[in-house]
Amino acid sequence: MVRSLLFYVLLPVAILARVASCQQAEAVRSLLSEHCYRCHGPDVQESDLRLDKRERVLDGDIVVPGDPASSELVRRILTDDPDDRMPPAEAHNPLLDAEKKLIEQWVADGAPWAEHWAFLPVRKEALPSVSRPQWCRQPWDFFVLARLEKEGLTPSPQAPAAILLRRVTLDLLGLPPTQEAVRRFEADPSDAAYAAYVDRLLADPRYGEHRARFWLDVARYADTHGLHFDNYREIWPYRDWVVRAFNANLPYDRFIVEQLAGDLLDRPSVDQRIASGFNRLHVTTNEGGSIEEEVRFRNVLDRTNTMATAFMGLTAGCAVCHDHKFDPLTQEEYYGLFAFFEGMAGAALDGNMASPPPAMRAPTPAQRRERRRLEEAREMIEACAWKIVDALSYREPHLRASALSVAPTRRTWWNDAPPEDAELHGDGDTIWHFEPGPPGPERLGALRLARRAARDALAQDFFLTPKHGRRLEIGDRLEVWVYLDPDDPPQTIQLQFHGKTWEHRARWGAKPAHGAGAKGPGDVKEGPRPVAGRWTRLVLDPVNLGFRPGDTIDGVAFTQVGGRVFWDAPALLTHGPLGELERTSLRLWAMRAREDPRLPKEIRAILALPQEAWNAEQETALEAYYKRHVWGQARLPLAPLDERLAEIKAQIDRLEAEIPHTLVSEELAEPPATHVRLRGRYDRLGKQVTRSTPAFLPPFPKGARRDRLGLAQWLTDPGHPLTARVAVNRFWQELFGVGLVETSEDFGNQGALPSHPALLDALAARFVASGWNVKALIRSIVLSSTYRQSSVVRPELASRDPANRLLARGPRYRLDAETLRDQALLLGGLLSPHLGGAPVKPPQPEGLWKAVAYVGSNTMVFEADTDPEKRHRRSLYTFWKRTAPAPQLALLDAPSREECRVRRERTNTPLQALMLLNDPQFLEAARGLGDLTARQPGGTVENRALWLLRRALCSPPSDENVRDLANYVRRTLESFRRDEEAARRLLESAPPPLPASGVPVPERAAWMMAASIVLNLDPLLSKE
Amino acid sequence: MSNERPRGVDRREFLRRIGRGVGQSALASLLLRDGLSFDGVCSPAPGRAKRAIWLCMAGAPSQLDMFDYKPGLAERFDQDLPESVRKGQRLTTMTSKQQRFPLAPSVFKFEKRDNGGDGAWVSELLPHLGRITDRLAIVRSLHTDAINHDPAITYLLTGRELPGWPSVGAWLSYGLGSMNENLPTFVVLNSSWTGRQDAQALYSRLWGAGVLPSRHQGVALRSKGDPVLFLDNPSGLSRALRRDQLDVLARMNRRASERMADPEIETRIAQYEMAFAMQASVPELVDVKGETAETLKLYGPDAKKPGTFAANCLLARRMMERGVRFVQIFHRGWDQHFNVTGDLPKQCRDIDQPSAALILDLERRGLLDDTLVIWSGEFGRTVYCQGELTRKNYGRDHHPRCFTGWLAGGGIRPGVVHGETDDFGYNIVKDPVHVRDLHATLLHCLGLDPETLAVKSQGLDVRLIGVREPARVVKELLL
Repeated sequence: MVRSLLFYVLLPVAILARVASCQQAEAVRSLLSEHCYRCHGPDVQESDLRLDKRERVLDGDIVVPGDPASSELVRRILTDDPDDRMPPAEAHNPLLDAEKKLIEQWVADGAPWAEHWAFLPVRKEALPSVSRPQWCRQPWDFFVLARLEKEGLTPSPQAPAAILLRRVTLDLLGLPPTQEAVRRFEADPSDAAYAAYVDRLLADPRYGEHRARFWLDVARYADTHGLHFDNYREIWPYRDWVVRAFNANLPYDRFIVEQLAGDLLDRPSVDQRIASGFNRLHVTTNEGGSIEEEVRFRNVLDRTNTMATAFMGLTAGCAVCHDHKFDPLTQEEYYGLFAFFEGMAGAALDGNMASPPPAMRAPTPAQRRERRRLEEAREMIEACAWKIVDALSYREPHLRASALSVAPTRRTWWNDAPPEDAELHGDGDTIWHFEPGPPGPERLGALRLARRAARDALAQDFFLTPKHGRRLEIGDRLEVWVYLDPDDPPQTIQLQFHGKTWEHRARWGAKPAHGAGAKGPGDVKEGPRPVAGRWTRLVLDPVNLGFRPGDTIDGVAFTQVGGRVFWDAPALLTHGPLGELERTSLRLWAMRAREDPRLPKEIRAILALPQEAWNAEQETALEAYYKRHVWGQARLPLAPLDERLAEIKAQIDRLEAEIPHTLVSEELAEPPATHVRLRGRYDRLGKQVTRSTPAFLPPFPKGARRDRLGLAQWLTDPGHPLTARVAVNRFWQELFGVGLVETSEDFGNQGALPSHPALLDALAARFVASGWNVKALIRSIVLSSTYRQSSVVRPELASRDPANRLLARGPRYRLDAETLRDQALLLGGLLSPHLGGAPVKPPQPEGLWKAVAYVGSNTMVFEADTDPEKRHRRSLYTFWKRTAPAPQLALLDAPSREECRVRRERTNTPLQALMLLNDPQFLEAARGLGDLTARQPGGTVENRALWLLRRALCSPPSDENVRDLANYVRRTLESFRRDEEAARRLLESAPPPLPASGVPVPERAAWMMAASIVLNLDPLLSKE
Repeated sequence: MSNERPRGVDRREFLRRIGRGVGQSALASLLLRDGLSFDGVCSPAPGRAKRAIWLCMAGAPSQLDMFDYKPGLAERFDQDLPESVRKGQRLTTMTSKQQRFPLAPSVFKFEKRDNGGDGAWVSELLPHLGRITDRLAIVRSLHTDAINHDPAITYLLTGRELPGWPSVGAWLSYGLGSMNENLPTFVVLNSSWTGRQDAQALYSRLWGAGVLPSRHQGVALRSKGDPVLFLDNPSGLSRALRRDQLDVLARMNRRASERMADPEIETRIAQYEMAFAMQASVPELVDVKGETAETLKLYGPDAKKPGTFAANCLLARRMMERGVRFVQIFHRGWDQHFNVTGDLPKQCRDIDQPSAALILDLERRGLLDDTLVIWSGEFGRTVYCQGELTRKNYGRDHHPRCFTGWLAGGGIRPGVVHGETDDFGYNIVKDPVHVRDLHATLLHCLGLDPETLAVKSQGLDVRLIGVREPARVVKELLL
């Protein structure tokens, strides 16, 4: 806001006079908002004065149009009397003299009133007339040129071919162009060649990566929860969806609908559900002691505020506690929007889980294709197998059931001494302590495992035998003997079994032990504590603990809460694998198979019935199953097919294990009622409100559902004044560095006025009319003459328009963090072309995570990826830990992604210089670029220096720069020849491996440092 | 022009434009030579303090075992906290389901120390601080809103419970600018600790710039590896070679500047020069070899162990001497939900002697008068026991309703004990000081107006003290 006014105020008065009257009205209302609305605006009306409504301003003698002298407003702002002057001194918000003059002039001019521009419908703007229409290539150029002509300025000439090509490639791909592309364009810099090149860029998949990168700041995408533990959160399929959406040129209205409400669409696709993860990207916590209602409230606030900022440029969050001070958004209306997001399912706290529900498995398109292929193969083979089975006929042999009634074998893990060949663990001073203990059945031998624990404290002994796990078969049982000391009984005892994990627990007693709160087999409550003072045999069905036949158990933990406990003789009671009998007789098999949880549901249902009760249909079904899977006689013909099926199943399992999860939105069947929260306090409920949209914006679409889907439809209605304006402004900002509305996050009364209001509306109108076509919009902007101008700051512009808001030249500013790193990697010949996938961890200085992390967080220890392909992936894919983002991003103004951000700062600091000079990753890029340079054929030092500068900056370098760089290389080379060891150390200072090169070490090192100079040149760090 | 720029932003704009002609670094030198800061947005009132140190005890120290002496509790051991005291106020969900709230008197002995006034009670855990209470203003009536660590420490250091807002140090950097040419304005030090090891997390937002330009964010100085990220030249590259390289870089950048006329290029040249200067000044800063044996002894046995709180206090003093504006030292491990008597003595041993040494060392060097030192956690701990209560040990839950901190130096009245809690140490009965008031007081001591130090964001005047609730400068603490 202040900037936007400076924009007016700093202009010479002569120009100010020529500001169109509607802009004058806008400027005045902005001033009133800035200086007066806090006390005389939508929220508060001190002395019953309200300055945001026309009829109230023109009421009485507050403002007398055309007569400043009789206008109270003018008198009060001009007076020297400190008691009378407005704004009062204690507001610390005085008007500048030029601002007072502007208001006075406005009253003199008849006090034309303008409703806030951004809340009025987008106007269909006719092209303004200009004196040099031949300069204009796109409609946008007319608006820019008309303004320049009004200011008495001329546009800048077109940028040199190489610079323009670099600019447009950086803007569309986030990467510099190839040498070949530069050469070709220099040879033919025609409009047609340029347009064809732009079309190639728009079709390049790296285009979507670059566009996505901007959006991920808005969406607050990150790979951790952000609060307290700041654990890993798995939602990267959303990030890849954004890339795909931009590459597929998903219309922007669909882009909004699918993110806000993809889950509510009719039969949503996998991609649409992934997109709905947008509402789940806010920070979350699981801090102990948190009050759930408070956390839930904050989660919903974030969703609401992000929606308002991202799509409407509204600072809705200002109305959480009271009516908005500056914009006509009441507190009640705020909670009307809030209500759309309060019905979302899921716990308030994240449980420190990677995928707190609702979440889904989100196969990538490639994974989906692969899965389909495997499943088709499986079905084909299965069909063949059934043909074979159908050709075989089964007859039940005459065998007695008693043939099966053999007692199970008891396989004891230990008795009287710790298990052999096992890793023994425990958490006390004396682990695995054996003593005679109380007498018991003879089978228990002489010694027991004995433990004591302090009241309320957990104590545990456990063993692991990773080399010899015991395989579970159908119908097996687990058995353990226990004795609780009657003088000091424990509060709870617990057994825990290790399969692939320890998530198999059984406990006796009410006090939670390990796995407290875990669902299912992670914490099975077996019953009350056994009676103390006697030996009890505990018998467990492993199926109830989450095991299946075929799993192995290779560890048992003996746990107690408080008290004194004796354990003895843990054992597996097993019947062994299916034998010859079961493979011969269906009826014998059926007796045992009843306990096999792996069988299909319908087979288990039949097996649950007594054999006499089976009807013919059931017998047939059973027989078919038996022949196909169990019957010994069918094994031989089926073996090759089953082998193949096993292979396919293994492949599918591997694939399934790789499929990531992603957080999604889901709606509760019965959403809670929403209340206004008094003063923004989560627990102070005010009036109940329904899902509704603010009155100053268009009405809710007729017939639309009152849910997030309806809200998205409301936002994307072509008549909505904000959605398209906010979007085109952000795309403009991505290309010019500053939006037409500088405050791209705030289109309200406190926001900046657009520098080119008619241009903004023309862009917005065209965008909607084109079907919200993002690629077409971007194409039309980069094809414009405005965009193609040289970015040299002409002397007259330096004073008149230092921030280039009039667009009399091309944009020039420092590149964003990600682009800088990607550019360096590409120039060094290192950048990986890999698209999408799980986040990667390129190296960073040690200890950055540990310095801040909660002890116990799974993002406490940073381990860099060793795979060079991952280390050299585009920065879009760098693991984003919210409480400690990678320094390569954070030092260069990347936000923390803790909340929605629609624009970044661009600072210029010594810490950035140190990083660009010394970060091993940038050194590695310099080494790569130096190697490429040193290997250029036919080179004098000058020729190589020229090649290096040209490669990196694209445009032909000046002779002085070539000479300077060549001389530097000579001097450095001499130094390194004297100290070859230093040169070697330098080459090895970047991460290994050091690539082979035919070039001598001193030369390599010298060119590496020359490349480092080039990678630090301001023109390279900037878009020119 | 001067009467036309009442607000800070204009001054920045003014400097930016002037700087364009001279080159920012040259301008900075000019201002520094006159004893002024550069690139701050405010023209501060002459405050007592030019710089500040915040000793931040992350996890919330138990005021009841350190400063807030409640002798009457001894005879109420294991009695229930009367409902008339608690008044149904909210508790964390860690103890809200507890059946009882038994009172846990401190097992530590307190002594009334002579502070030049009415005396100050300090527990036996803090012998060194006890001896310098005549330099401290102890505030026993601090209170805050949040009841959990993450929001509370975020509030303590940014004025908001939610992420995204400028930290105290960023505000000082923004408002006052830098006082030196070769060290950062705002430095953060993380310390090792010896108490409970599963400690609360820190977050870069606690020294972040929030909505301010990111150059105002704190620079975390590390005790292992490069003290400043990427400070060291790569192995094999001598300082002479680096100098040569930067000279060539500057020449080429200057040509770009002539061609493009973009003032940012001049700024970049200056920043590379500052980076080069820092490569010398930062190692000089962290090298304590020049400190006398007597000084090292003052800070205690840990003073020479990098990364300890003692070593960090010593570094903080060195930074104060070298014109760093603000240093924030974190010490973690104060979250004594249980085992107060086992853990708290270790934590106190970590910080007691070094904090006292820092005050004495600043004082004897004549720096204390214009250096503000603040010591505090993010909230306090409950008088009632969490978990098992015995005569020997107990635990304490989070307690935002009152806690103790202290201030010293830079305009603070020494020998003050401010505020009072009830006989249970549960509610404040006299002179409450909200964290917002503490923020206002800090800004005031540094010559800034807490009401007007603001930045526009999302249509709001964002301020450290917030926009909604009142915040007052605690005049009673000032000289």
